[in-house]
Amino acid sequence: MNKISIEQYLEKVARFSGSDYGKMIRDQFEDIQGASELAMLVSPSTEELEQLKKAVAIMTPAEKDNADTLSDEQTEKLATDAQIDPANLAIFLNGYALHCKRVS
Amino acid sequence: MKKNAIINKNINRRNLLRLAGATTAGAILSGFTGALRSTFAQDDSRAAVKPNFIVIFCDDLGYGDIGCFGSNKHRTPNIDRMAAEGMRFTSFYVTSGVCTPSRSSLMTGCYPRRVNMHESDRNECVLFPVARKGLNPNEITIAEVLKTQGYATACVGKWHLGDQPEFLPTSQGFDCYYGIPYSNDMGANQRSKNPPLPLLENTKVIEAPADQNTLTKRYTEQVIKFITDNKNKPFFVYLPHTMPHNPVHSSDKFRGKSANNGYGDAVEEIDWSTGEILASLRKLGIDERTLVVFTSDNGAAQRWGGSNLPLSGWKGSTMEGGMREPCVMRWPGRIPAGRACDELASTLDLLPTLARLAAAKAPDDRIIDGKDIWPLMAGREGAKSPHEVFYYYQMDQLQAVRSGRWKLYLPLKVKKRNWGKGTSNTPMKLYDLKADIGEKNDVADRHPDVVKRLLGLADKAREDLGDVNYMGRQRPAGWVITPTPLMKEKI
Repeated sequence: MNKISIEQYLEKVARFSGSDYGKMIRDQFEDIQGASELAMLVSPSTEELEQLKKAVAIMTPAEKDNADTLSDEQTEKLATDAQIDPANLAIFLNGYALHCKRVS
Repeated sequence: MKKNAIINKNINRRNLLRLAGATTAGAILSGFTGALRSTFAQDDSRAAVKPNFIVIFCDDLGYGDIGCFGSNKHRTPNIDRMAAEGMRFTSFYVTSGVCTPSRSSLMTGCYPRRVNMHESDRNECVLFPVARKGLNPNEITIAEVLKTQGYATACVGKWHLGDQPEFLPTSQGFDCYYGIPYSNDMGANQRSKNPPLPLLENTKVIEAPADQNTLTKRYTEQVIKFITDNKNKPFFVYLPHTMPHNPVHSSDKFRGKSANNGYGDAVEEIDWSTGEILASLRKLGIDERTLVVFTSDNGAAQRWGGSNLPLSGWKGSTMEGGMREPCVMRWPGRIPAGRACDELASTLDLLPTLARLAAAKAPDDRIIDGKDIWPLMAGREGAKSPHEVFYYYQMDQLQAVRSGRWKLYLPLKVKKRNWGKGTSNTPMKLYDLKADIGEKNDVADRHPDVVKRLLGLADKAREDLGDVNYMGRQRPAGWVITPTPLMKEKI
């Protein structure tokens, strides 16, 4: 099975962002101590989503093709270039890698 | 710091992937806490603390109505997360395509015919208000089995196993009851002879007609209160939602918000409810000793917006869409995360399985059709369904038989339907459900040996459970001579 693109995954992550429904779900997912990264992937805040969009926008075609296997160093550099929180990007790219693993 | 700041800032990609790899590939939302547990209890009957059980039983929710079973219409992130943290059962059956008989099996671990709940006192497919018939109080329910082990028990939601006091949950092993006694389309608005749809607290009508808009919300509050009050002792909660059975209702927060009209709103509120209950378990610190089961009483009905895809057929039929249900089970540390199990299991199995997990004795003075499916739930290597055969009855008529991957529709002179005239001269058909989940290709001609074997199993069922004009080994239902309507007391 073909993996979905990083842009498609971004769309999937963004589906609840910014809406009242998204805020409610974010609250429901916030209670997992030490694992709020799950909440971010299910319903990112508008600010978090903007960061992710910025990172995806500046990725090269090769980085996009291999987004599920980028190294920590590549992820860090991408976050620095996009001027965003590196943790958010790491969580997002991990979510993507796991998604690819799940459906392939 | 922003409100939704990431808690663990030392997170990096390799650490995350290593953790996730310890479980399964399905762990996108699996909760990394689950990944840290490498062993699962081998025999939970020996556990020092008895586990809690919550069974969430939707009404008419179809196989394809939640995200983790393929819905693109309904937003169900909480149930999807439950699946990612637990196990999806993809061949999970109820014993009837309609409410009353299906519920009798969950309660008793028996086929409806066994306990004579396959049809009403008026030979209809479900019980109606002021019914003379109900689940026999002499049957041993799942709640009564757990009571023997000191469980606190609550039923919150739609009962539909008899509306007379003798048959209500508080006479069937439940300490308390809050809900409507039958379907939400059986009030005075639908049939003028019926009493206004009653909302009961134990056996007392506290509201009539019940405000259906807030039922899901109020059920959720009742359940959370019950589990909070009983957090220090084992409990069993049976939550048979009223929704998304037609007429669909939802509270203000959800009404008009989904992409699928009122039906979608109701499903999304049930998802919210599930999230609230799971959050309460975490907050109370009892998450890891609580098994939560989420499923439905039968497939989605044809007209109201639900989906049974990729299955064929609808509520009220013996096609897969009528009787195969979405099912998710979650128990952190005991049920492995992110897995799917395609072995045949059923609501019949909940009684014997929960009895075993609670170290209780399942009834042994009578036939129980359900089996212990803990090996499947625990994800044991090579675990197989304990059922050689599963029977599809429509009221009193045996219509189909499944064994392994094969499902045989029996040739019938008149195939009964729940309502109206039956269908004449329906032919025998054989489907390979592994290869053809949608029941599209009849392969009876190509597998005469399989047909012969399944016909033999059908004969056994007729002998044991009966068929049209043949009673079989059936136990009596409960009856009252003069039923009275459930009405609000006049003050």
